[in-house]
Amino acid sequence: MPTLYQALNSWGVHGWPADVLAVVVPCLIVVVVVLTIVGFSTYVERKVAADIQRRIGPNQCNVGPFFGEFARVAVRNGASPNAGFSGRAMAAVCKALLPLLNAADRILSRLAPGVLIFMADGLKLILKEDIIPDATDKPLFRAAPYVVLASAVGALAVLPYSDAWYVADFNIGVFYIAAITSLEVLGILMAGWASNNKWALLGGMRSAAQIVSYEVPVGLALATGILICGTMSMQGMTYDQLGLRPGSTWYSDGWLWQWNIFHPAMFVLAPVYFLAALAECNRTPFDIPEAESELVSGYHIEYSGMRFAIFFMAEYTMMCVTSAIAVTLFLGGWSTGIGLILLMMWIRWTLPRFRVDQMMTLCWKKLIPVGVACFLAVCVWLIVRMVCANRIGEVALERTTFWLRACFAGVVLGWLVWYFRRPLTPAEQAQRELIARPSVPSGAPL
Amino acid sequence: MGVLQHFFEHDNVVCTNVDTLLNLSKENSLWYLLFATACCGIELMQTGASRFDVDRFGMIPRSTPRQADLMIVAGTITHKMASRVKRLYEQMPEPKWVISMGSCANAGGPFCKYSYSVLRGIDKYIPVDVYIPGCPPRPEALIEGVFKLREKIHRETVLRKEG
Ligand code: SF4
Repeated sequence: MPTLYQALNSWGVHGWPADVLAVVVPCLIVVVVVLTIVGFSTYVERKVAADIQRRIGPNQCNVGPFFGEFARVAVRNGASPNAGFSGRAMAAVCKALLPLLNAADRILSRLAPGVLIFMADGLKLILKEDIIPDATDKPLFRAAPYVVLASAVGALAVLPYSDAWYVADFNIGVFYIAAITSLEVLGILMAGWASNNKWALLGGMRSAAQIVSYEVPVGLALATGILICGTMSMQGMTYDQLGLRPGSTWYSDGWLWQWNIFHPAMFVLAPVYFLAALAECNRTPFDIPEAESELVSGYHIEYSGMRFAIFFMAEYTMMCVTSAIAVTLFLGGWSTGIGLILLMMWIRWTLPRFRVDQMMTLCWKKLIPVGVACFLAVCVWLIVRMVCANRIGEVALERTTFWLRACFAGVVLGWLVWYFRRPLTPAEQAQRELIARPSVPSGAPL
Repeated sequence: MGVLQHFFEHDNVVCTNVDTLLNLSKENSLWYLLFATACCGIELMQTGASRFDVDRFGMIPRSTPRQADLMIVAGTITHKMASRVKRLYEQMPEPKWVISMGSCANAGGPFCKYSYSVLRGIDKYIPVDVYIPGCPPRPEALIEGVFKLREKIHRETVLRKEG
């Protein structure tokens, strides 16, 4: 991170220590922050699932009495005869703040009941026995989770978090992401093969087939994005969509219609990318590698404890990464893509799983042709644009494309508004009412 | 221990000593094995479904024994099945617990007297932590059993020698 490098220099750290620190510190920060978000998103996923299935979801591990208990213990300790000065001071502060702390407890418990569940899960998984079955290929078996996690975490390095916050800004950022996220398949194959278990092997092979196939539509979407933005750097793509270019005008300056998704080709490619990303993350409806009903639980069937937790984290990190890429590519960048993660969860708990052949048909016969068509269309458009620029001049062309984009964005947004406010058919009305009915309280007599 | 003192007044605690913290993490994420052999299994499924929702207590089903903490033996176990149950139990990583659900798993149930094939109680093969009577036990009974197990886990200690 260049900002950090300058800061280090100004603090009198020069030479190789500054080089090392400027790389290592941001990496650590990003990994820690993202893995915390990952843990939290497992909690969110369980709550989303509960809501969709009309249940309550985890509500036992609350932040609940934490602050209040802390204060009460401090007060009690301060009151004991052998309490020192600091103990008494702490007690006095806690006593004064007690109502506030209690209120914080209540609010946090109300806002996010059961939020500590992911910490309980994590701690428990660390405590579990780490079984490495005798018949496994031991070095591969041990290494596989780390390979999978490394490929997911590696992609975090080039994601743009804001204009100042990023770990690295390569001029081949998109290429790097495409390369490193597909390393995941290596780890999954290693896990499947090393487990020496037929279900694990089948899961691994299916996963390999799936990820390799869906790399193609993802690659096409990325390539089209590169063509439109004219850069492979993730930061550059963001700048391009925010219109922050030298000589930018009011109409090309960070407005909604500068987002790539309002480019007609990218508008078509956005769902293509999203579906392919779902498949790359092995999420339902593409979780064929982990199908419980056929394969018990796929490539991580033999993994217990910490190693399973690492697979689990890798899956959620991958979700964060693909959402972040989607946001950078289509939605203007510098956003965490939480909305897209929620969309993935929503899809997961709504749709059943595809069959293998359906999944392959979707990829090779639908997504890839659409992707290729969009890619070629953009190529042709760029040539047309170049010719036009020679004829009418860069400024006039900029203005024309702005109006074209703005019209397209207007149509899309107008359609969205109409869609959500359209008059409902009687069937839809009935369905709405059915959904709005209060659910049966849990545990009520039948 | 100063501020790190054990307080367990309600069901939620964070100010605690390390042992209790570990126990809390274990009892709040009891992942159970998706395993059922007979009619009790239907009640087990119902317990996981929307109305009774054991996910409230952090319990989710895992399909592989490697990732499960809790085996709920739900249903009739025949002599032929018993060795399989034992193998599944052995495949689970420590620490692990077993709930025997329903009369069949407890003692052979309705088949106790004349059956040639039914095992008279799964505790002949694997150690059982909690027995739940009933034919079948209602989901509430299963949840009560889970609570008993949680109490038991809460008394466990991994860091200190007892006494
Ligand atoms: S205890 Fe009763 S309900 Fe349960 S498996 Fe046996 S016969 Fe079926």
